[in-house]
Amino acid sequence: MKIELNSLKPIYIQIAEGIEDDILNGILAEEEQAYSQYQIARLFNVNPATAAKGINLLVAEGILYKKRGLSMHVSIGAKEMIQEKKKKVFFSSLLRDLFLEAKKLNITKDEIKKMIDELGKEEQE
Amino acid sequence: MNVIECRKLSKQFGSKTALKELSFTVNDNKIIGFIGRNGAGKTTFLKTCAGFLKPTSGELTLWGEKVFDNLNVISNITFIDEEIQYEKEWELGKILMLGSLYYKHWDHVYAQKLLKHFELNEKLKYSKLSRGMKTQFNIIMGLASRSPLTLMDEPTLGLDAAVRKEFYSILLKDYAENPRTILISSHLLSELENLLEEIVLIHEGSAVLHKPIEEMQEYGIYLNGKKEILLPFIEKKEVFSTEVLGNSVIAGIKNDLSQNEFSYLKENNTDISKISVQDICIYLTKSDRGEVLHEIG
Repeated sequence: MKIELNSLKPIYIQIAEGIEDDILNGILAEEEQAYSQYQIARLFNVNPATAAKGINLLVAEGILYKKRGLSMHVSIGAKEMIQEKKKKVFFSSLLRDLFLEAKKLNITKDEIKKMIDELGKEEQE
Repeated sequence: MNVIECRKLSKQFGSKTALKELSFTVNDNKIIGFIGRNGAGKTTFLKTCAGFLKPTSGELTLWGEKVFDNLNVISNITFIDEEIQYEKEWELGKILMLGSLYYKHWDHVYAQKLLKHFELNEKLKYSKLSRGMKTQFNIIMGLASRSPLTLMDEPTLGLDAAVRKEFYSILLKDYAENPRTILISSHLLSELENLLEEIVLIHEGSAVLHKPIEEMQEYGIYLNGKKEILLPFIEKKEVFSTEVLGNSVIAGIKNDLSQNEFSYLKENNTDISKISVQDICIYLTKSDRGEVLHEIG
């Protein structure tokens, strides 16, 4: 997990996304205990309230849950939930940015398609 | 629960007004940044809060009680600043002992742990310390007193970057374990901002705003793009700054873009970045806001 202090994204959202990334990458497994607000606060030198705000975003979405009112744990199905959510972002924003940048550089759609195909091949090899 | 309640608090020194109808409220167990330019009234407020100064008019209550001449309240407050003076011959160990007598919530074991951590010997005389060492010792007093209301006026003055960083992490750890209300005034806002939960910005003795830090971090954005796109665009916006550089413009505006406006700017190759809280505070306390465009080159 890392935090970009100059990013337009608020710190608490970066914290939430950092936890999501750790779940996606398998650093945090489902049912496993997630980081506490104090661990996050100390790791990044941020106010515990900010860290709690990030964690609570994920609790509200059902990605994390509170066990016996104490520690935070990763929900079953959390990984899939995050994947679904990120897919939407991928189409609505990442892909759009890609096309905008391509337009600036005068790259055609066909060229992009070709590049994607080639990347796909590399992945398979 | 409200710890600090300030209603139209004014403080006059002769003909000079230091605080002018200052009003705001602080709840308990938060770390608050108390921000303002030199001469804005920060220190005067902190001293009034600590019971050193009597308000000229208006009201300041801590936990619902008046502060001035109220020992019951004052023994729950710690105020540290660089002007603290002790008897010339007093050694650090002795000052810590006195701290344990004076402050209701003093933690002596913790004080000694910090003394060791900062490599200060308890036989040293406070008056003989360097400026940086004095600041470190004041930090120890500020933290070990564990007062429900801790006021720190420029607590990192004279410390190098490494020690400042250490202080921030010690402060956070201690705050997490012993929650209390901590008011910090500092001009190093960029270093401090993520430690804070809220910011109170004061200017010419009055409160300009009091907001959660997240709101301040999203308060403003810089747009960097083509002149013909941006100049008409910012006409309807609250503008903090504009720099014209040939055909491009960098404009600082209040961040209230709709999704459509955001897309419009992106499609027109406008770069959007955030304005630091420090810069927002500078813009909001400028006397000539909405300054005139000036061209460079």
